[in-house]
Amino acid sequence: MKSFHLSIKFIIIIIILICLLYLDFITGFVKIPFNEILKYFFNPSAVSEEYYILIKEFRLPRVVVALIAGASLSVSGLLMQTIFRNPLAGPYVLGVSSGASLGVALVVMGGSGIALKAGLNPGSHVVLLLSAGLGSALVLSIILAISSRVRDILSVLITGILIAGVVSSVVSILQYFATDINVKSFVVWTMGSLHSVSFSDITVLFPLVLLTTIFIYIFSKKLNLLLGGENFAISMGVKFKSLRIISFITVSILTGAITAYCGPIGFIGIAVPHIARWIFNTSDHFVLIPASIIIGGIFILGGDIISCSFTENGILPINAITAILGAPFIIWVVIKNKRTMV
Amino acid sequence: MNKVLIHTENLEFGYKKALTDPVTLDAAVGDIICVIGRNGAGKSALLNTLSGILPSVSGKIYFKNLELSKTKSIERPKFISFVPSKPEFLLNLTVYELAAMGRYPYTNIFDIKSLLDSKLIEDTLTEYNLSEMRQRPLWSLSDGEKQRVMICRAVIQQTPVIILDEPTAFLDYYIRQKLLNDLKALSIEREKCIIFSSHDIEISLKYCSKIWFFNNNLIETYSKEEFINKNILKDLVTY
Repeated sequence: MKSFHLSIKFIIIIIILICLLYLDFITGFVKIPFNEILKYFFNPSAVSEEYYILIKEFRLPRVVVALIAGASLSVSGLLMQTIFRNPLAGPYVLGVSSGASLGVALVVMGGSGIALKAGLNPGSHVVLLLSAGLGSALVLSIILAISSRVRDILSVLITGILIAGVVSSVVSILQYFATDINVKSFVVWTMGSLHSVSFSDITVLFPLVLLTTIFIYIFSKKLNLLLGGENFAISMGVKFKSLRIISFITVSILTGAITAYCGPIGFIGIAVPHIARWIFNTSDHFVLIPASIIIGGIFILGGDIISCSFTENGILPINAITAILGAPFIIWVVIKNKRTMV
Repeated sequence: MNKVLIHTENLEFGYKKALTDPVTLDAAVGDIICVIGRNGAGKSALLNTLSGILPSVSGKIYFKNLELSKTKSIERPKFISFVPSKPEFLLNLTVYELAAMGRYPYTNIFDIKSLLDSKLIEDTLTEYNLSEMRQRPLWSLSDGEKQRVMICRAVIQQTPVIILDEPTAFLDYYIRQKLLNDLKALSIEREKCIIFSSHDIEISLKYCSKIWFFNNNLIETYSKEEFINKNILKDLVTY
């Protein structure tokens, strides 16, 4: 009976996801007729050339990257909430996204010279990917070091906010010294965009995110045990320290990769795991990880559709939309947790 | 009846520094042992060390003939289950989900349960009167109910040894008696060894069979009768 309910709920959210995928696909300056989309997938040679390029170079990468971004950020948020045993943890609040921003800021505005000397193109996504990944790993290791000394959840959260503050100050100083063009490209990046990702980027991003997510799914059982507290988990045979390191590396990769390609996108990481718990009425990671992936996709596709359809000749920053959609959820969590934070 | 399950050899335990002199303790099938001592004497540290949560400072702990520090961490929960003093649960884990965790040491990485596993979970939930609240999130339960779910989980885990850190704290008098009665039944009917700590000496004495008493730097073992006859309680309660 339980698995029946579970499958029904999964089928419903997958149908919603597919509808939004289609809606996002057709949203944009040019409306693409449905039969052209069908033709693209089943009989590519019959698609007219304009539509073919439009679909292959713009719409398809955008939709796929939206899915990947929603999935990665939601899984990161879920992991952080479990590891820190804190319903308000997420890659954005704990400064992990800021860490990624710092990495990118250093490369875009500060360290282009270094990157050029090393024979790398500072604008390339691979360099951004590396710097964002290292940046988020740096912030996570600082938070890890503090959280192993201070057990208090609130202190860890405040530390995350302080780190985010320091990072944004460093970024402002970098902006002060940087050239106009570099500042502009950095600011545009911070607004977040799903539209600057090309097909070749996806060939890097997709396998990376897929493998990392499958990898962490295998640890679901151990993550479930963590819900009973650190001591309980250890008594059940979990190697707590190594599980924490594994989770942090996963979060660094997922958040770092998405932040590098799409800019810092906030609030999805906190909000989506809560929506998943609420819909499925469970804390079981075997259910929550796939559910967060799908709901994360729904959330960000919704955001993207809104950001594309409000203005005549431009796209609103996705970061602003997710904040407007996500913040009310966080307030809801705070109110609800007066009861649930035992 | 006297089958030793847990045996310590010159065990020193504590948070990096030993809290007592090296201790040699035995716990056997059918024992229900109450750990008594002042606040800060190291009762929790001892129970955490026996459960494998806290590494020992020196000395050895044996489960039957196995040395615990040399067994794999995933094997240990098949011998010893642990019930923490105040169970803390994040978010809405349900009664069923927690009880089912008792099978984790036996299932594969994807937690595929056999029919036997599911039947055991169902039967034990019914036995502990938890069947009807199976879908309730843990945060909505009272302290007594939470404690009952944790013990139900420990039973589902089917370990020969169950260690409980202050199981009677936060419970009213009636529920304390019921809980200790359940534990006693477990130790006798299912041949388990139960070790628990308590400040609730009167009630605990009624149900336990042995006492580990923290006396300064030593842990002394008494049978219930010895403990009462020698009037040791006096040392513990006189100011």
